[in-house]
Amino acid sequence: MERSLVERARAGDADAFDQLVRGRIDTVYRVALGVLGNATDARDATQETFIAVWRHLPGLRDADRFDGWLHRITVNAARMVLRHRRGVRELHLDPATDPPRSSRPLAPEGQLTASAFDRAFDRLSVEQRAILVAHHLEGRSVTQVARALAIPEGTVKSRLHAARQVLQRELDALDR
Amino acid sequence: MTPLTDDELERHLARRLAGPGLEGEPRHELLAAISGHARATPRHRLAPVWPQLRWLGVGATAMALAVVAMLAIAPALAPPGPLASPSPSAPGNLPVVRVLTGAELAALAHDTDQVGRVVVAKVDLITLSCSGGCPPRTTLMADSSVAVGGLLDAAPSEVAAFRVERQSVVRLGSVELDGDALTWSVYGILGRAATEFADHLLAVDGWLVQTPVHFCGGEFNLDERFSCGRKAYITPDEVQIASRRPGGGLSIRGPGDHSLRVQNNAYDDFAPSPEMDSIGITEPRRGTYLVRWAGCANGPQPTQQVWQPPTVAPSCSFWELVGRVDPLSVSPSISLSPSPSPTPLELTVYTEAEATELATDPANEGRVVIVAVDGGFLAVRSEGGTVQVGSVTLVAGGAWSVADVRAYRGGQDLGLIPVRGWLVETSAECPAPPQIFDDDPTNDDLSYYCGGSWLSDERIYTRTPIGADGYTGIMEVPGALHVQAGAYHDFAPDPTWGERGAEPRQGIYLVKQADCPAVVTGDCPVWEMVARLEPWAPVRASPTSGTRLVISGEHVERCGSVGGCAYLADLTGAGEQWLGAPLEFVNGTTMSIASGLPETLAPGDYSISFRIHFLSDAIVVGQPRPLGPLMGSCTSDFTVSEGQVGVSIAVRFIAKTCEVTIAGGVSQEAILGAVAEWLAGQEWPFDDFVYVHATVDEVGFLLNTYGPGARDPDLRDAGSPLFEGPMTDATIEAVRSALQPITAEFISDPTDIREPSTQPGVCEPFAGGGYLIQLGPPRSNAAGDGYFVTIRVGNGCYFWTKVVEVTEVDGQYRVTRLVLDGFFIVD
Repeated sequence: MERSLVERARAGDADAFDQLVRGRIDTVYRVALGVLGNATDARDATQETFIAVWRHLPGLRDADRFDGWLHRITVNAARMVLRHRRGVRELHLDPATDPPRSSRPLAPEGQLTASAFDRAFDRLSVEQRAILVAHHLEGRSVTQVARALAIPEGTVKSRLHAARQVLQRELDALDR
Repeated sequence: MTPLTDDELERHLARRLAGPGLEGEPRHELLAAISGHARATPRHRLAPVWPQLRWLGVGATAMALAVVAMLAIAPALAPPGPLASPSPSAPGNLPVVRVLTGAELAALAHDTDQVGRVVVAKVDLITLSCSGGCPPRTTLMADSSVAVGGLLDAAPSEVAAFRVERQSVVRLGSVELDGDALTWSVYGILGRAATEFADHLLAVDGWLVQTPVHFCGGEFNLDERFSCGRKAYITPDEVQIASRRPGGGLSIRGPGDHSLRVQNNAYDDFAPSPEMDSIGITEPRRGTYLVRWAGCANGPQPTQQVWQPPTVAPSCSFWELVGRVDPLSVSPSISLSPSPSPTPLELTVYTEAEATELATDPANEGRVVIVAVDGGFLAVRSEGGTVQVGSVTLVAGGAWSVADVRAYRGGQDLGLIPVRGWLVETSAECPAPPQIFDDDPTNDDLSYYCGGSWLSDERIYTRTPIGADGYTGIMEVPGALHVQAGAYHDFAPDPTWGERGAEPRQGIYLVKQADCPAVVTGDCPVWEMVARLEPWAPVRASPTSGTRLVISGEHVERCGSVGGCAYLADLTGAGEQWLGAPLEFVNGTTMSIASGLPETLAPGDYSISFRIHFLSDAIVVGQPRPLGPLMGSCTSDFTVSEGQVGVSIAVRFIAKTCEVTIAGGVSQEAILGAVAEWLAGQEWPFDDFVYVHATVDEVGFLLNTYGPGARDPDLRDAGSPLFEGPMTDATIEAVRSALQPITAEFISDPTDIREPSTQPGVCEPFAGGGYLIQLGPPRSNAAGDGYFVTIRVGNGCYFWTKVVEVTEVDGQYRVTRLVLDGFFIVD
């Protein structure tokens, strides 16, 4: 069924594509939102993801690999949105008026605050965020992530480990 | 800091997903945007896109150098590709777009092929309250099953832009017209102060163009939508904003002094059939674009030191392009779901004498009508005679509207009230009945609790399908009269339930106030529906009125007598005889009977004879010439049926012989006219094919359904015969009454009736004569796509009429014009 949908959409069947979108739009949005942390950006990334899917679907050789392919496109779309957002912010930021950063991002009792986590998390690369979201938010196992990304399980583990290390390092930096 | 645990990580990630999820309107919009993009952008038309460059935050000068450098090497990097094909939008040839009606907008919302389309329509919106926990929802007044989202600050009868979605529309904003015209020119917009258009959308006819590469700086900018990126403009004329240099690279020129600057990448999103070559050059695309003024510039002023981007837009000419309005190739009104409403909407009031006479007709058994009596009006039911139902209060124009009834504050008991409206039934899931019904098992008066019947001025659908099996429904119909449960089933003409709930049925219904029951859904008073008013069928044609007799003669060849011949007719039958009626020459060959025969005939068996007599050539002035010997004669027998419209007798005199032909009094043309007239009276369109079998026999016109009663064995399939018998005035009326009464005038344009298109040798008439009329959903044939009425004359022989006009009449849709593309004769 799914394979048939992908193949029909790949052949240009807009109705089949609609069905594919409806079945996956929530997952894509959740991943995008987890990575970007902003609903507007997540919607943009979701839209860009599926537009890219429609455009490039003929290039997908194996319909069974659609979901992994979709995940990679989602991550790419999130990256593009993030770049655009960064660029815009950099253009308009005026250091003189930039609101002062909190010198104490952590709560007094040492508990990790939301803003501290977000600030640290936003300093990760998109790929690092995406793999953390896939494993820790989407609840995918290492095996599932490996299959989705078409990479060895060992690579998934190492990337997860690296992402956690970077995140911890950023949190520590904020704590100083 | 303490190492981050898995729980903390997952908790914080989950928090990032908290808040409004992707549901409701945002989800709907996103799906529509994606679907719309996919449908508007067939993949095979997309040429490879040059790698997108984003130089945000880079200095303008450096960026300009980079642009030049990239342009110079672009041809070497990009695969050679043909330039886009010529624009499909020829200059000056833009199809006209128009303001749709609310009903047309609703029709689009029910058509899944229209999802993503942007249209402009003049509509009224209503907000339906909803009990049972569901929130109020805004819908189209013209069709309450169509939900309206988006910006809901609509004024009454406002012209606004909408994006069509599945079973719903999104309001994009009010549209300002250019006088009476929907579309503006670019010049027309630029000729006014942009601030005049604040908060309104404008539909502008222009060319959408876009730069092939990203630009930053060097231009007035409004916000990020207009800053770095591929800049887009709407121009009044076709402008090729970029072209390849012969030696490589690009030449770029401005869109001209008169253009509307629209947000970056607008071409990608809104141009019809966007075409882009391998280095990003786009083909200008003409269209009717919806724009909203975005504001004035606040960016850097242009300087001569940097590479100059195409045209510096006027500082306040920044516009947000929100959609493209395409003309509708097919009138959406014919896509409306059918809503047959056989009940005439004019209230007929009878005299006592008429009612007494008509009530004897079994065809009227059980029907209720209004009768004028001294001092007022009565409702009477036909039960072999008239039985009084009660006194009736009319208003000017006869029937009340629902709004009039609800607004009435006169205080007097109005008795029975005829109300013209739409009868609907709610079907929302209900909570358990109140406690009092548990305490008193004998109390079964739940007639006004929860699901029930309602009489409304508006055609209301009470259910909205959700997903495969689910639905939401309303329990109350705002502004309607709440009538007892089951009234829809009992009184609606052809009650039908579908996925949108009970199909609203329009009619004139007789109601009376029922005060306020112990348990009621909605407000009080409630109403009891007593009957649906229908005109009584006319009494069958009286036999004494007779069947019209028409005799015509033709003189083909002289009889041989020098003095000429006398031509006489004798008619016998029904116990009477008329002898020696002379036929006279009307002109050289045409003959008629001036006197001596009756104009009408009573039912019975008859015989007609024509005689040819020798006449002497001796002329005696002032004396009649006596008849000479009989030279020839011809005779034919025929039967006149009760109520038959007429009988036509034609005689041809050929030397000393003659021929008689007897035909029914209804001409072929009249039959076709009757068929066409009947077709015109049908609610349109039909979801399924409807077959009507019509035959012509010797004396009349038979019309029956495609079913076991059909004469033609091929037609004995299913259903039941509608009518059989000679075609008389009474039977024509019976057919109309049984099928659908004609409530709209059929406009027949004789110029549209073309020459016969039968192909001899191909068409085989049905063995029993007759033809098959086929009505059904839209399809394609040699005349194009659309709705057709196919008239099958025989095997392999079809004529079809194309529906060319559908008109809304009191909320119903009727075929008001057909093109007959063939004219057939049944042998």
